[in-house]
Amino acid sequence: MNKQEFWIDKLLQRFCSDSLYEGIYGDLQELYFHEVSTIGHTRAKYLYHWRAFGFFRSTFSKKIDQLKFNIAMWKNFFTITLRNLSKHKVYSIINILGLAIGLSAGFMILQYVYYETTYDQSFDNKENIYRVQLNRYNNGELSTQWAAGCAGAGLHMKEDFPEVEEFVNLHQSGAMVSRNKNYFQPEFAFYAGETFFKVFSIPLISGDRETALSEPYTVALSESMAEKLFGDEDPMGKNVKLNDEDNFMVTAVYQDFPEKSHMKFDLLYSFDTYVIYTSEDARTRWQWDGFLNYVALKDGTNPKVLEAKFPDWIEQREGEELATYNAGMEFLLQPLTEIHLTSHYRGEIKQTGDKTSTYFLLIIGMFVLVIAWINYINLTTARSINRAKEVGIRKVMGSFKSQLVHQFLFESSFINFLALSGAALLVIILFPYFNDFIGRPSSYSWPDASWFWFGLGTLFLAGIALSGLYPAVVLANFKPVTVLKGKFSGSAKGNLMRKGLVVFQFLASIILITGTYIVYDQLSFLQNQDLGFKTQQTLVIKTPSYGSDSLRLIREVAFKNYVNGESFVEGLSNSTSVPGRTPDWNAGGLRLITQTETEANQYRVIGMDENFIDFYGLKVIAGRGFDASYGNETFNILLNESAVKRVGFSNPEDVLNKDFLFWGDTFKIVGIVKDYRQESPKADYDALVFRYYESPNGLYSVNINSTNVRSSVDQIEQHWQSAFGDKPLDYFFLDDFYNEQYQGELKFGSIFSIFSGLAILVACLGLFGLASYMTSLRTKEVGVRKVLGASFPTLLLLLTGDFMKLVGIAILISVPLSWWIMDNWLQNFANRISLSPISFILPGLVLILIALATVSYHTYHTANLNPATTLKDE
Amino acid sequence: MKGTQLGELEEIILLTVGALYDEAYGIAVMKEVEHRTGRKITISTVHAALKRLEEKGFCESRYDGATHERGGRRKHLFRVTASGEKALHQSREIRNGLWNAIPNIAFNRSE
Repeated sequence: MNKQEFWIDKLLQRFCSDSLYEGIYGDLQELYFHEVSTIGHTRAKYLYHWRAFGFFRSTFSKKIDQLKFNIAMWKNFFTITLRNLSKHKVYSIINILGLAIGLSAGFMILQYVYYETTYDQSFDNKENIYRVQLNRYNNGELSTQWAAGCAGAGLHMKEDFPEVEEFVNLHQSGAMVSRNKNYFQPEFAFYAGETFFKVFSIPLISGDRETALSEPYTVALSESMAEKLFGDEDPMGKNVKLNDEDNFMVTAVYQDFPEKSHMKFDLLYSFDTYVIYTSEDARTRWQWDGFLNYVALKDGTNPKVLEAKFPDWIEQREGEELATYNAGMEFLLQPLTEIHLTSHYRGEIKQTGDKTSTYFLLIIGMFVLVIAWINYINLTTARSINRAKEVGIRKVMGSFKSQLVHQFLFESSFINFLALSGAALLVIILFPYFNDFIGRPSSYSWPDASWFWFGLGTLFLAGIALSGLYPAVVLANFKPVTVLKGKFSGSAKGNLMRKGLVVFQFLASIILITGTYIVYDQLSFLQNQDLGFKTQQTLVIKTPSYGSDSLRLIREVAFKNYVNGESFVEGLSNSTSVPGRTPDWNAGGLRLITQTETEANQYRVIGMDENFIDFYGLKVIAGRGFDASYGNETFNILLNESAVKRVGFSNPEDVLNKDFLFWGDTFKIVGIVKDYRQESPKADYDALVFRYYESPNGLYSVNINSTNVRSSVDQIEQHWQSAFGDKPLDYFFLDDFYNEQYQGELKFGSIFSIFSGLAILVACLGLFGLASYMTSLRTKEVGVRKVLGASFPTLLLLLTGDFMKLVGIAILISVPLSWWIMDNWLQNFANRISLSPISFILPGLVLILIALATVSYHTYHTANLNPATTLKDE
Repeated sequence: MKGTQLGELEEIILLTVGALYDEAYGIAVMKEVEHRTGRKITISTVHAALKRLEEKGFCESRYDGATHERGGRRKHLFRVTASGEKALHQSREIRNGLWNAIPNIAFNRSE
């Protein structure tokens, strides 16, 4: 007999009424055997299933009649649920409020994490695009990790590896751009290789994807930049001016990069122009960093396999040169979509996210949610005695256990649903604040990915199942005989379970409190420590962008003199970098003239005028600072303490007046400067070399002593204009700039504390409800004890002790856990606090106080009751 | 009242059942409808319509004629009942009446 079995048959047989099934099955089989000979098994099988699905409709279904009975039952469930909610208002509010807070916190955190983890999804071919990240080594030690690696990386990779289909290179430009004397200092302007628009599928509004950047002196504009520069005009084919000198023709306008991208470009100049400005080295050199390189690999290429080929390749191409510097290089491929969360190296285009704090936050959010679920479980099971009679009666009347489970699941779904509505309201109200708080752009809209909403729905259903299933099963399992005889009391197992859950809630809370405490401890440590320099009232101005203006020096000196002449200016210094960032200038191959090439090292270099040391209050511990009265200082340098160590000396005096070889020139070490936190209080001291320039290109630091800072800045701006004309004044305040470095940590700290607060609030809500219930069960006992002579404090201790024991256990368990977690977190900082017992004792005390306050309201009340009132009935 | 009206698809299927006389089961009806009207309908639609017709009393059904091809299952065979026949006639009369009511001028404007 011909017969083909499919999995769907069984389903269909269950679903269809028996009188119809045979005919349906027969027809399906017949069609299948007709088709299998003509279109083959696979397609026939597919059609079979397709048709079979068509039969899942109510017309063929067995169970119409049962439905009517069910509706009556569900109506009854609904009524009972409402009655119970309104009868025990306090518990209902605690349950719903707790769940609502938990769900809204969970939702906001979930979508934050979703946002952070789905960057750069809009690009075609995103799975094949990688950025070439460069690690540089000095004497075998990792010295600099570059996001923007060396110039030749992409080009040579494409030449040497068939797996690399295309590459694009970018280099940041600090140039000023103008149109009809209308100046802008764009933040995100880059020179970009002609393949840019082939690699990145950013939509073009006008222009040709293939040829847009192939000629020198051409530029592509973002939509918003085009509007800034040209207004309503069509920019295509028109010119913009760079640094008031060269004309660039607009050859393309592209849509602004999405906010959810690690990239942002206002203007893209053709890379060929940069090669004209500098040399062919900008395309090919390996010892010149600051070039972003992206490669598109061929479909199906394993990046790990390619990465493994790099070490030999580097050795073969650059090994000899690297050996002379005692240096090493390493290329790593960063997948495009992971750059935002995982990369935080030098030369990132914009601020990237932080993986650790994102996942930390996810865990905190889940904590809040789980604590809220536990509240529901505890309150429902603890109060089950109230419902025991109802269950008994229902069972006697012929309820199935499954129906009772349905009833209580329905109740928890209903409460969860109310909580969800409350959460939705909370989220709608709080969402803008939350966004603002975590520093997300206001343009942010709700996630539109369907799987995100699917995930959220799953979370909701999981909540119902987790918080509803256990109480439902417990309640439905009551034996009618026991509960109706009135002998029922909570089971020991149930009590243990409840206690375990309370311990868990407090464990989560205490970990969060301890975490918050330690995060703030570390932050205040960072902010309050001696940085080694002064930041007060310092205005930092970027030196003007020039091409090759012969009057430059004269103008700059004029500007400095103007500013110094103002009464509110207490000091002025000119340098290539200021405290608050790693200096941009990184020089390798430096050594004492007496040392061999293998002893050469890499240093960061700051070019400065003679005022810098005094201006920032740096301490010279040996020799002297720069001082023009000693004559020409150009070939004198200073080192900091760390640099002295890197050179190979422990005593600063020993390197004083030695000759230092710096890229072919010989410098004399005239002074040693005490280490200060140049880069960040988070990082270790770096080895720094200070070189003298009369007028270094970079930044002016101006110390303003005035109560009206605004007007001082205005006056400086006037001097700026008389010295440099229309060029825009670009400035910032040093303390803001320096503090920006722990914005991330501060944000993390405040998010941490807010959600810890929420978690504790929800846990206390639960404890409050539980305490109220548990003590109410003991009113008679308390009455008897009182009659027999128990004192008020004894009673208070008795009632409170039970809860405090749980809190105590939670605190004990938490210590090793939070120690481990926070120790891990602190490893992110080179400069950190050490964990002390105080970090654990203090949060523990706080939790005990909070729990005590929560519980004592009820215990106090119960212990205070007059035995005459509590014992008179029965 | 439900049970007296014939839907358009139902009418076609009921007519097809009549035309096939003793061989009217799901697949046969589906193929015949497709053949006559050029209209592709799914097998589940045919079954649903046949069930509805039976509920309305326009059809009756029995099981017969198992073949190897059908996995040994019998065919669910349908036959038009007297009230089905009446319903078909009624529907035809309504149409004829309406056809007759159309004035010549409405469709033959050029004449």
